Amino acid sequence: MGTEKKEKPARYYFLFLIGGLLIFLFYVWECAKVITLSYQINELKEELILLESKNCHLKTKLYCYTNLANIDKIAREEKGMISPQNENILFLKVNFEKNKISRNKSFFH
Amino acid sequence: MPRKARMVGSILVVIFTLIVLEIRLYYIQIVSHRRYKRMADKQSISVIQAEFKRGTIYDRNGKELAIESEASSVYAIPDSISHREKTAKKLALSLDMSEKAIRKKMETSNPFVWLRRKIDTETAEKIKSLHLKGIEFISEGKRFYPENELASQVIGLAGLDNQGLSGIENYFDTILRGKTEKAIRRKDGFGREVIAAGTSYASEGTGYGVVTTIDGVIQYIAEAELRKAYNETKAKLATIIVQDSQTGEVLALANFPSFNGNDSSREKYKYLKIPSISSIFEPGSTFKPIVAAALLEENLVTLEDLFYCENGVYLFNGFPVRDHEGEGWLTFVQVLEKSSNIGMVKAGQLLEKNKMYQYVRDFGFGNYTGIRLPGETPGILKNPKDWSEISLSRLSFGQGVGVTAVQLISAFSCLANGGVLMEPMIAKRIIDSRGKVVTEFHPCPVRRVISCKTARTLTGILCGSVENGTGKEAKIAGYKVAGKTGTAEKFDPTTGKYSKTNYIASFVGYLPADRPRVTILVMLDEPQGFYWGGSVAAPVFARVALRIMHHLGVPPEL
Repeated sequence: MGTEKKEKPARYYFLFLIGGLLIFLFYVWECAKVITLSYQINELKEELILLESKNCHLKTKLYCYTNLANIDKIAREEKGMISPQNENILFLKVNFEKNKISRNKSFFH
Repeated sequence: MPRKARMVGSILVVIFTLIVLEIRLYYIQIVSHRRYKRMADKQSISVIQAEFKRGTIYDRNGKELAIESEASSVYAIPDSISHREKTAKKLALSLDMSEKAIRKKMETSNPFVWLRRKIDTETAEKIKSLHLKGIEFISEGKRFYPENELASQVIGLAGLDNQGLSGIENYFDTILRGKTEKAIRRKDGFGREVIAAGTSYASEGTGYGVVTTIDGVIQYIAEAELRKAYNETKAKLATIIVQDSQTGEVLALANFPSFNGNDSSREKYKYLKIPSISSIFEPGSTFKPIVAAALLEENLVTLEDLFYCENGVYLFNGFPVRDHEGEGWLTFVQVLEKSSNIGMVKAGQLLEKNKMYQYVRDFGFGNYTGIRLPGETPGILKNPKDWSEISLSRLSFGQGVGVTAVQLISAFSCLANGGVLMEPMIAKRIIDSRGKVVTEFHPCPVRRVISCKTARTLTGILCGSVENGTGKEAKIAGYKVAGKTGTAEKFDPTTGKYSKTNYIASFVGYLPADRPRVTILVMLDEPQGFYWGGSVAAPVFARVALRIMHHLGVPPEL
């Protein structure tokens, strides 16, 4: 009986030590994992910045082609279009309430 | 020495060494830990001010007028540059800077120096390919204006540090900028960013967007016609404003010369001011409908009342008043149609000076209009106490008063909409990055100035001015136009007299006269050659108005 009583705390101490060690190892592993992941995040971030920058550059190019001045220039100079006069326009009266259209619509013909 | 003594000696040395080390550790870790932590943090931690991306500026139909783009900024780390002269020589070609200027920048004790900020991508790539030691790049936000010159003065400019310098960019700067947050970053020995205790990230976001009342297409029409008129007349300054007659929303506000916000030259800073709200001029005959409205509202004249126009020259209190063409007896309607100064002087005398002042004030002159743009001036309108004997007569035909173009168009919109002065609106709403409305601006009536009946009567007279009077060139097939021409002599401060060579030609009108949709102001400052409002400004009005009617889908009625 007496030896059993003496053995129990020793086993507990051992288990406590193992538990502590596991927690410590987990902590070390977690820290290492966080650092590795943060490296990966930063790499992806850099990639994202690069893609965003490319996207931005392409958008800027697109705007250069689609701005009103450019469209007007192409319409007039390349396509030979001219501004319409009253007689070239057919005005359609639309039931605004029914069709939920906010303003008059004009159509060129 | 006996073995035991050697062992004891060795143990003592070890113990002593350990004690010394312990003391040193205690000193570093406990006593001076703050100092060492500070040193380590200085090397690994950086605190940065993370700014939100600047919000977008839209036209009323959602077209982007100012967006946030990206640009590279070049900086130098002088200590890392081995051959400063060679580096400066190579950079000078790409950066469009002199070698001397670059070298001067490099000769600094600072560890970091900007060489050029926000350069275009091509230039950045070109410099990167040179692989210059000590020359680094950083990506920064840069304002990009997709429509180039379009509405540039209204939109304004944002500076190098993304601060609004003029226009909407300046007025709504805090809204567009959004938040600035502190972020703490930690780097390891290789300069790689690590997430660790004590680091924090700033929330990434975009400032609010501003939706303007500007209609991109109308603005484009106005600018195209304005440029044409400017080149034809060789005027010093040309202005066109288009306003919604009913709500006071500004659909287009164009001044020429103007600038392209994407242009990197410093020339653009000369044109940041918006003349339509910050420059004052004497309106001349375009002011006559304001006086006429007061006279009609007070029942001091009827349309048939006759005024003798002295065949073109009239001496009033010793000061001559002249008409463009000598006329005899004219009805009040004809006085306005033919734009007789003498007729208006005589009619104006019927109005008591305090009443005149009150009406002119009520129409919004001599006061801020409240337009949400920076740099607005209230104009000049003297208090009746300070008026001379001829002030009232001069005011009757638009002299002795300083107005802004926005004040004048708002007063005409008041005539167009039935007598209510509306606050000119430039911003429609503020939205977040997902398009959700944060603040909505509604049309704001300032006051009723004249009755609906007076406004309608005056519209009839102004239609006559276009049909039979000085504004014939503003006629548009299919649409009834109400408007008034103006040819104002410019006051010459050096001689203290009105100039006989420098004029301001203008036309202000609205259409369709029966149910006005838009009010348009055309103003040409110092046109060369022909200078009459009816011959230079009215045709521009007609061209702009017709294109706007088509764009808005307003069918012809006549």
